[in-house]
Amino acid sequence: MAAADLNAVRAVIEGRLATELANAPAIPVVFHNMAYEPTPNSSWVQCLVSFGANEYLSFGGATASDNRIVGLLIISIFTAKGVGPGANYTIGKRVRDLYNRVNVSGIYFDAANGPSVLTSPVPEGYFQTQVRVTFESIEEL
Amino acid sequence: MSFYRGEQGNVLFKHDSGDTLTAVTAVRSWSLTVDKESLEVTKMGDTFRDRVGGLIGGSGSIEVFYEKTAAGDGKGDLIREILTTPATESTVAGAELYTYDAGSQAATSEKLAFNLLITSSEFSASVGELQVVTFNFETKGAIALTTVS
Repeated sequence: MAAADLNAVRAVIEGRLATELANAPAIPVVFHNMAYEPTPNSSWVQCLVSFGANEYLSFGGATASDNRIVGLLIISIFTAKGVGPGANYTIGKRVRDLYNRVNVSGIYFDAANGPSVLTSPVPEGYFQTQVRVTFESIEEL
Repeated sequence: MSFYRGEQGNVLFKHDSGDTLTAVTAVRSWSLTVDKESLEVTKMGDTFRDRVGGLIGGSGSIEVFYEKTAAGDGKGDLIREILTTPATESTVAGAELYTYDAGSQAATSEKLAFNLLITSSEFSASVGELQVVTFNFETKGAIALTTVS
């Protein structure tokens, strides 16, 4: 057993979204620490993975022990403003179905939250919703 | 080695030995407590008490969300099991409680398999909550922990 590779966990989570949104109709997706200039009135998705407060699971020291690694996946969906929510929620379903109670590569995703509407979109000029999914993985040292 | 979360489990049930085990839908939880009798064999002159194991038995519960069901499917049979007359109890109901593999009963899943007697079923309805049925059971005969091949 070995310490968890959090970058691998991140890659699994982001990879699922990148693969799905590359399918038709393709939607641009942007991740943490990436520059992106959205086209006005276009649809696009922002995916932010962050790890949270991990905790002990079992006895032991730096070896032969287990930790619970938890995290939060926030996916913001941006669509054109002033044309209703349908296009946004259509993307939202694609996103939500990717993670809702899914167990993949040792990552357990909880029931997905949202999509919930943000009244003050960032950046402005779009209709924005968020899908939030907590997840956990077990680190076996 | 890896650990498993509760939602990866599953329950299969059959009304009698002639039936086929069928998945019970919308299960919220299951539990099984296996007891072994402790028989004391301490002898005069011993300093510490000594014991050997005796008979093994089990009891537990299954909790499901209530649905309209038909006899013949796993959940329908489980809901009706408490209402069967004593004469048909001898047909022996059976259950398998799956510990993991997303309830798919696929190869490498692990399960606890046994025959059982449903000893009580608690039907409940509360305002604002989903209706739940809790089944309590006692095992009958051997309890096996096996890997699905």
